Amino acid sequence: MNRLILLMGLVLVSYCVSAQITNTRHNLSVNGKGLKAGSSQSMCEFCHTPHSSRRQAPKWGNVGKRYLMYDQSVSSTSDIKVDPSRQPDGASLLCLTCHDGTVAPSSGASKGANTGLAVPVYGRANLGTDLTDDHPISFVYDAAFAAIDGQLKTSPEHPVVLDGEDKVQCTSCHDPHNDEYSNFLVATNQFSELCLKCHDRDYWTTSSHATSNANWNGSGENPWTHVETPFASVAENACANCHQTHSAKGKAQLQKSILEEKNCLDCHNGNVAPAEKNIELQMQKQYRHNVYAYNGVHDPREETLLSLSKKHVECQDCHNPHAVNNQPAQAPEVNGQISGVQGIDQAGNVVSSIAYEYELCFRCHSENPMAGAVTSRQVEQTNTRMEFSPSAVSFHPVAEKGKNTYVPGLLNNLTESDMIYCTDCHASDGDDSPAGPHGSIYPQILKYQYLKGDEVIESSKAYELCYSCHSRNMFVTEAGDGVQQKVHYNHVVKNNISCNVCHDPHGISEMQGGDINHSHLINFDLNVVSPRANGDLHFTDQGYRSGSCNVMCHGKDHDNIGY
Amino acid sequence: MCLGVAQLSTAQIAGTGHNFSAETWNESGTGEICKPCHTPHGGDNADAPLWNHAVRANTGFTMYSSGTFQGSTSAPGGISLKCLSCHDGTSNLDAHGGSAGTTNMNTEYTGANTIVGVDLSNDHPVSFIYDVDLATADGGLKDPESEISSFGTNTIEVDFLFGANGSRTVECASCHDPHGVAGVPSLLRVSNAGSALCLECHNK
Repeated sequence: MNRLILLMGLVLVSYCVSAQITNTRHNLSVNGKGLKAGSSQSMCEFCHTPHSSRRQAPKWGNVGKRYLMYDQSVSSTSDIKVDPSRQPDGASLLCLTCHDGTVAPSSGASKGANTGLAVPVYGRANLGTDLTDDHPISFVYDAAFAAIDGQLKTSPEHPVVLDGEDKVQCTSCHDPHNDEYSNFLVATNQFSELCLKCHDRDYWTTSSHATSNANWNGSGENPWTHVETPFASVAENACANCHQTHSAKGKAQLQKSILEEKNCLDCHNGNVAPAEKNIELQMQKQYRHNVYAYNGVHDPREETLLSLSKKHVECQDCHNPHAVNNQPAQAPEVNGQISGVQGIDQAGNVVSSIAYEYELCFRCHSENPMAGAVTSRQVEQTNTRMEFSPSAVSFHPVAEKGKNTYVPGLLNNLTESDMIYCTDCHASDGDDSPAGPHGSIYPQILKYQYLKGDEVIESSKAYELCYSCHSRNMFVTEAGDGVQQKVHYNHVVKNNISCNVCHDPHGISEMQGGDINHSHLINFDLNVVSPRANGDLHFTDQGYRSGSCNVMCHGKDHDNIGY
Repeated sequence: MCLGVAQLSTAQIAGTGHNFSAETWNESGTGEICKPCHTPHGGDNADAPLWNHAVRANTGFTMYSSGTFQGSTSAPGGISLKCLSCHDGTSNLDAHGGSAGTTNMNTEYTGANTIVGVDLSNDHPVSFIYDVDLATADGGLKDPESEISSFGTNTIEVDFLFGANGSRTVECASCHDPHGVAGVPSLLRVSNAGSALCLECHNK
């Protein structure tokens, strides 16, 4: 050992020492970058001491303190069981001796009494003692836990580590000595790389929220103010577009806003997402799926077919933000915008990931329907699943190909064997509007105008909805067969009777009507059509383009008038 | 050079807490400065030269452990045990030169923060092998076998570790020079301003 000799050559090396921690906010010494916690020139001593450490008996303000922990009581999607005895432990407890905001950093063990600034950490670094708005810590994350969750990797990937008891701690994501990736993260969180070391969300990698290069255009509110150092694009911010690891206002799922729709509309307002996905604009219209009307009702683990008392609508009811993409589809198949969401199939069974668009609509518009009947009719059915059932008497071809093999005047290259979406009729109005039934100036969130009743002056605009598939020529041209001349032209053009008076646009369920009286979507509007003196009120199908009516309509007695 | 060291060491220890020359327990305060630890004749040279103080048994200690400590230590040994033969608080200070002694730190220096005790679980670990394997396993330590210490010439293991090549250990004297270094407090070998001493090994 030539140690003593070497001491001869000793010079004070202190000021040329440079470590990873030197230029970080965790260097609390007088030479540090941020908060100066006293006059010390040493960096380590604020947390460490070579002798008589307090690790086994933390006295830095932890004694008698109770932290509120993140568990199932905070978020239904958390699999951490409620355990009143669970408190921060391991390394996390050491972090919290400063970061719970109650103790000044200068209260180091080796320093004894405070010698410097008695300033608790503040701002984003102050997590408080209520940890229910922070990513959970001090819980065991093993293969069994991952299996219960179903959306986690079996174990964390490098460099995220668990402690000796397989617990997630602050140190799983943070290296207090190294600020290379900012916020002392152990890896960059660009593209949410760090989050994805543990989280393994279904569908995520192909989601638009994982791949979009959209930037904030600088107008309105910055959607990423909840992130200390946001990246420029949606793809780079990834999870952080909606989620906030610490001090999240929306504690459940750690969402950045407690208002569910705000997590979406902060970008889908024309300032980040492209104009054709400006949903906020649609939500200002009179008829809408009113996502503003509910708060704290939606739950990702709620039952698929909602009971009446829990009816609500949030963006997340129809969209899976981890799955959405721009994959197109043909009716009735589900497209990318609503992929990966739960629904009710045609038979009434719950499906965890819908295959057909209508299955999503059936969540709220089948059993326990949210909306009542729009028109008072001969037979009423508010369960759209019944109206569109393949065994229904007649129906628009949403869940099954249509029954009528001869539908004249079909436009848009449609044929009798094609199918359509609910959203072909129910969608935001306006040619450049986003797809889907977000908001419309027309009742029932219809894509085009659809006037009802018996005082409608026929025009291309009055029935624009119908005319978008059914050629107007078939109605405004007097010449033609009985259906065209006596039924359509006569009623629609000459007598101002709307389509809706005779036709029930969804369908007539098999339980309520027969082929004779309710084919061709015939189901009279009782506000216009009334029984004859003898009580008769029915249509009679008499075969190909032939039928008769026994009704009282507009004071005109239809005594089996046929065509 | 050796002469120089001797002169410097004497001068240094005279100004440190290890100058016991006036203590009544040390030859009635007759000015013996080296004798509590060293003797010119009949000393033991196992871990420190010409050792004159009784060395306690290496039993009864609670060693350091931590989820982030990848090293292995079961009992203090080598030169650390010599330090602890006073700093355990209960071994006699004056057990030197074959005498059993009668005075220990707990009674002589009541409440002194230099008493380490036998519970070493809250003290930096000692008597563990620090090699490249440990550095790799830890991830936050320098490779002692290849990195040059702040002294500028030799590797960390040469300048700061003890024992045979291949099993060099961290001991009390890795950080402390019992004779003191001019201008450096706490009998440290290197000033810890800027945490320089910590950063000799820790790559944080």
